[in-house]
Amino acid sequence: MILPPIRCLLRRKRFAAVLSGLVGLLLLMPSEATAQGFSIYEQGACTMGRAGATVADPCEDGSGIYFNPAGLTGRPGLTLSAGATAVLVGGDFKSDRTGETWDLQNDPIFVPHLYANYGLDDQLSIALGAYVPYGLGTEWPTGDFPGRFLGYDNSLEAIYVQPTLAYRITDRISIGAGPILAISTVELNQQLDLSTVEAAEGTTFGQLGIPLQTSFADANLEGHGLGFGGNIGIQVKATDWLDVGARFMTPITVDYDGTGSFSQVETGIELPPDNPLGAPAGFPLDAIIASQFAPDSTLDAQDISTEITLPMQIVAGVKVQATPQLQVLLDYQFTGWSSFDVIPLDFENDELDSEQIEDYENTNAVRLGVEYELNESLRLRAGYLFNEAAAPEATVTPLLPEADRNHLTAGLGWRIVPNVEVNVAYQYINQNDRRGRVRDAPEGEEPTAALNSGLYTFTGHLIGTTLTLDL
Amino acid sequence: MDSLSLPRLRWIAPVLLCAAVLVAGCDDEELLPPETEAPLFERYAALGNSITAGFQSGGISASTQQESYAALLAASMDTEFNQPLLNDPGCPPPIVDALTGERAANVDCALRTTPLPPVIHNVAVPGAQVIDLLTNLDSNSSANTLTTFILGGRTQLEAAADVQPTFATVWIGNNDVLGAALSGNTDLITAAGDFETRYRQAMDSLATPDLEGALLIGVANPTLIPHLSPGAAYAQAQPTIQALLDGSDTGGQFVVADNCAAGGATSLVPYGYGFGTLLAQAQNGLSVQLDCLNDPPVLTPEETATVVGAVQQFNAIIQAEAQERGWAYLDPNPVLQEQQDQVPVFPDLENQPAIFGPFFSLDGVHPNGAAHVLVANAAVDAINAQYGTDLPPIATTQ
Repeated sequence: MILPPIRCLLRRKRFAAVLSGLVGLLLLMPSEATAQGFSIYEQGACTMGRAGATVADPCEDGSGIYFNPAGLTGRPGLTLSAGATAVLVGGDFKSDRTGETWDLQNDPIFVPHLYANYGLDDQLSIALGAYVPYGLGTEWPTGDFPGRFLGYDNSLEAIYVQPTLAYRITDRISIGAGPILAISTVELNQQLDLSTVEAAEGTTFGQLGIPLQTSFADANLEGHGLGFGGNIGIQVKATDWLDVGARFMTPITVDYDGTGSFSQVETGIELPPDNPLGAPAGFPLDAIIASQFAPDSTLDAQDISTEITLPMQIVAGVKVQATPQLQVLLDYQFTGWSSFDVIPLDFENDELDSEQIEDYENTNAVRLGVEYELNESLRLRAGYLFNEAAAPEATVTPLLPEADRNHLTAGLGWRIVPNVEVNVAYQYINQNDRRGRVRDAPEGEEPTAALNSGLYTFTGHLIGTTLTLDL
Repeated sequence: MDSLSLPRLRWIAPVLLCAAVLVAGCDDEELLPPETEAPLFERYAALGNSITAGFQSGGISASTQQESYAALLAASMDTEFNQPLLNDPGCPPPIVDALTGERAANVDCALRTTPLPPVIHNVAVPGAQVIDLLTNLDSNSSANTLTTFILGGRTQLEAAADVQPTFATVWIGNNDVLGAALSGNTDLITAAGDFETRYRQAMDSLATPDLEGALLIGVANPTLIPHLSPGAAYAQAQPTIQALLDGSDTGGQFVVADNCAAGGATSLVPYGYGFGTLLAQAQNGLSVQLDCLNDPPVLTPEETATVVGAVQQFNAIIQAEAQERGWAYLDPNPVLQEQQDQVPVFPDLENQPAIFGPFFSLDGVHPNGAAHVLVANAAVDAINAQYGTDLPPIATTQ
């Protein structure tokens, strides 16, 4: 017998590591995101049809609040737009070892946008917009999916509410800006691995033989938070056929407060005779673990808090009026994902405080869009964009199994009557297959690509609709 | 708006063409691991008892585990093979002095090494009998501390299922007769009917659709191991044994009864009895006598015949099971018998590192690393013959 009879399960210090991973991943967020990292760029069907190439001359639906506040000028009167983008994604993880495949099980989700722009005259506009530039979710099967310990049902929403002021300085130059209130919620559902938990001081259940990836608890973590930032843009009409634009959205740090709650998952393990835990033969291990879920025990519900920095965006682009009917737009986007490097985790019990290393990398994207005015009431659009992955090769997980992506878009705008326009768009996302992992690094070690044990695939189909009223 | 010239459009077509190419994306087969040359061995699981687990010299540690024939076979297959490695000095630490029983360290059991592998391919547990493939909790089960350390509360079959094996080796049943041989109590032999029922049930469970082949290894004849020495050899060595005691202040008398040299000449005396129980008593000043006809631990010729008969019966069951399923079968006893001339009939007390010869570890029961190579090569031959594969032999210098 190497250990005294069970007396010290789930030491808090060890459990801190489990929870830190859990909450860290809660904030990491999901793969249903449609651009780099967990960003969503589809905040208006008109812009979506152009593959997001729009900063030099935003669509006239008020979406310039996000895409370039300077582009809101020159439209006297009130413009109201409302819409949503349906996101349908598919993907899977294929294990190197067995060739077994687990499919993403995401239901379609709808990402809304709402814009109001009031032009006092040709020079000055005031506007208010609400959009969701970061977020979405992933849902994997429970059961034997090996990534369930990193997260099997996760979601994040970051709604930006932005009042905006735009002003035309000269006939050719406009500027615009607005403060942003970010309202964010996150949720992570994850199972906990008994093999990583201490059975006694300095000894994990795994060291006693409990296999890796033995589920013993379901953890649900939810958090809510606010953050503040801003969005500023400039638009220059260089010539009659060339517009140039740029915008800068500040990074926004959101402070989250929330609760972690836990429920027991039966391991079904009956201990053999002479087991090192000192329990009698046939004794159910679950009976030993159950006490940890009692009030005031380690796995009782507790407050958690953390923060995440939603990265800055810098976009610059041009619009070329190629023919009277055809315009071509090209945008370059830089996203400062390197701010998403470490997530500090602050628990109600200070002993559990820890950090989660993410080491995201800044990303580049190129967007090319064309728009053709078929007649006074109908515009056709198409586009292509490429974006790099923000997650480094060591952080490709079930929560965000992203890779470089190529997108194709198509859309049309139909002005039904002079003051009512409907825009629709479709976007196809083809993500490069990418190797990734389904488990975390051993305690005290940083994750590396050596943990990657399979292949993630991902595709997406987006359908956007925006209704615009000019009043 | 000024007139617009078509040349502005010239760059659009190439860009869109490039985009169309790029959007095809990267579904790179190179991202997948290389396929195993022989898909039969893509995922290998080894089931068994102490020999398969890598138990040597009365102990087991990472170094002995890595000498197991199963590990050598996996290397020949060029397939992944994770073992439930136990930290040094072991669990328990192997014996380093066969005469004193001194172990590599004075601890009961070291822990499993970390980080844990995603799955373990060697699920064999020392002490396991056939029934232990199926359950840890039956009253006839031999589950022990190592059952938890290796399997974590699962059975061998449950742990093997995690591997989703395409190939398996099973060397189980040795402990269904070994206990009888080491104690002289043939009542400990598993009844043939129970053996057959349990073995078949275990193989039914192992034979999942994933499993493309297997090698079943028969029961080793325990009467061939150097742990058992003829009574006559004790009679001949009595002066040597007594000399060990005479050098001690507390040494008593070690007497070998005449029946060991005469009527009990073919009785087999377990080392654990002769050099364990009796010698220890003599070292404490007692006068002890080895009686080759009446001492219960001694294996009489009749009992030896019963043990050998059980081995033959069990092996017939195992061979039939392999044939019925189209699996390979290996009888280990010819392999051991080929080396029988190198197995000392009596412990070589002057050659402590090889007291039981060049193929057995310091407990005289379990094969050492050299013997594992012999077994692995015999397994390679059996598999190649059954499946037409081309597994390379293991170098004997390993």
